[in-house]
Amino acid sequence: MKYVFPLLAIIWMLCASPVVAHKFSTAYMDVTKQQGQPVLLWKVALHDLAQAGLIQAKNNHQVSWQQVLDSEPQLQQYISERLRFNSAAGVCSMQTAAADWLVQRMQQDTFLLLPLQVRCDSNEGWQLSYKALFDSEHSHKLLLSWQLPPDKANAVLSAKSPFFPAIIAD
Amino acid sequence: MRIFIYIAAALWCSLASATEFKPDAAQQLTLATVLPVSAEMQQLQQALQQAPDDTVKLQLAQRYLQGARRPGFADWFHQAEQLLGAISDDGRQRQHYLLLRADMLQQQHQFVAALHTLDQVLQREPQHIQASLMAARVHLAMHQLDAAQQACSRLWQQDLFLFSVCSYEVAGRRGDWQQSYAALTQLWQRQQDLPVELDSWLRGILAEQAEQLGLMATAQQWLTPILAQVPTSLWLKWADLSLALGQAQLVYQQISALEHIQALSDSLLLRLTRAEQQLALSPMFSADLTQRMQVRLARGDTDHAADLVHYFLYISPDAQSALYWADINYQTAKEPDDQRLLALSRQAIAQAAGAE
Repeated sequence: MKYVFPLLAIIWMLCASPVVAHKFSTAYMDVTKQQGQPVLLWKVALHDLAQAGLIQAKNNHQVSWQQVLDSEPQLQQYISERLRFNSAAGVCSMQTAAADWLVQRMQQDTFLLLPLQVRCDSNEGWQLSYKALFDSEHSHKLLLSWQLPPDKANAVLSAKSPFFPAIIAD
Repeated sequence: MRIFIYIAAALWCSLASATEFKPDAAQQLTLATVLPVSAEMQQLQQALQQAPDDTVKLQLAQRYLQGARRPGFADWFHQAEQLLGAISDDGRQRQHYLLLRADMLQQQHQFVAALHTLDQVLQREPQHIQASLMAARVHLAMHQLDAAQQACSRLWQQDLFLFSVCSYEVAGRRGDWQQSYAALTQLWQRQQDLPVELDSWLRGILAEQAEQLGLMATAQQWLTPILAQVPTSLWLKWADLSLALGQAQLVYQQISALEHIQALSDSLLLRLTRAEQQLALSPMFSADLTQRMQVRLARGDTDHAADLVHYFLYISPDAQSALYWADINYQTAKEPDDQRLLALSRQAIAQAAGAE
């Protein structure tokens, strides 16, 4: 009996049921209010940002903090394209400054903490739209902590439901 | 309400699990666990850097997909996914791409999409061996036994040995455990120097059939000699059998000695924590597991829900939650282990009702 590599590889890949979950990609966001404006804190895995090509790491395993800081223009651009905060008066401005960034180790991963400064022309009809990383991380979701009275809530934003609140109250 | 609590718990974990800090500019930060690649994979990586060729991408993706089955290497699924995502439109018509794509889909429990992809191969080449084997595997996961046998039957004129193994696995799933086990054991005994891949495949089926016959120790013995080389799914089977046989110490020793333990899949971490609990050891793994489970609950993912059933049956007993997730799991995966989890969850509910 002679079997060649591709066939054996497929057999090995099939030799038991698909029972192992892949690592899920999860980011977190806290939304609070300061001086009448929303303040966002986005916690996103450095690994996910590197996979999306937003951080130029030398290899798949490590990145220097300086390389992370150097990615500020790309990240700022990406945020402006993929994250949006709306108010009754239209789209709010959103900015992040690398000088404010921090790092946190959670769940075996290194997370980048990005405070996002938001300026809205109205304090009504606030809504977050989150469309980051869904194309590069199949399983990506955002766990959102929306701490803005009276709509204090926790929610999961995904490729299928990228808005919070999903419907703006009149 | 419950999902709200899980999200709150996951968010709390995100705050409480570690302190935030500002690194020095030169400080190196970990992106992922360093998983050693073979010399062959290194060559393929180098070739890819020189020229982004579809053939090389597919070869490398296959090796990542194959390697991702090893304990601690699940992160390689992402590497494979990225490589497959970068294949050109022309390259996506290739059989090699379709097979790898189908495998990726079935790993994500997207069984219907996987079968659709395999159909594209089988329409061109109805007796394609790899596609037929994979189709049989997917139909078994969906408990579509007639369709699984049809897929096996395509191998009849191609390879009698593969046809026999495939068919005996289906026959077992039809309930003919005794006959299938005897026939498959004979078939295994007749083979000399089976390649490790085929040996693992046969032993995995034999272990399942022995377990179904109530021969737990025999089932475990089918897997023990090859444990170092089997994929994670067979490690899980071995660990479950060993725990059922009261060998928590062995499970703890073997899993905790694995390399890249920090990158263990949730399913292996569950077995390790269960062994830790049974041995009443000071908890080293339960906090990590609880955090991972809280995040999964908060995310509301329904794929691979078997992990959550295990969690609520054995680690943090909650019969209602176990049954809830067992039902969800069984909607997509219908293998004997999934049926068993459903039965155990119903049993736990009955026991909880009886205790009231």
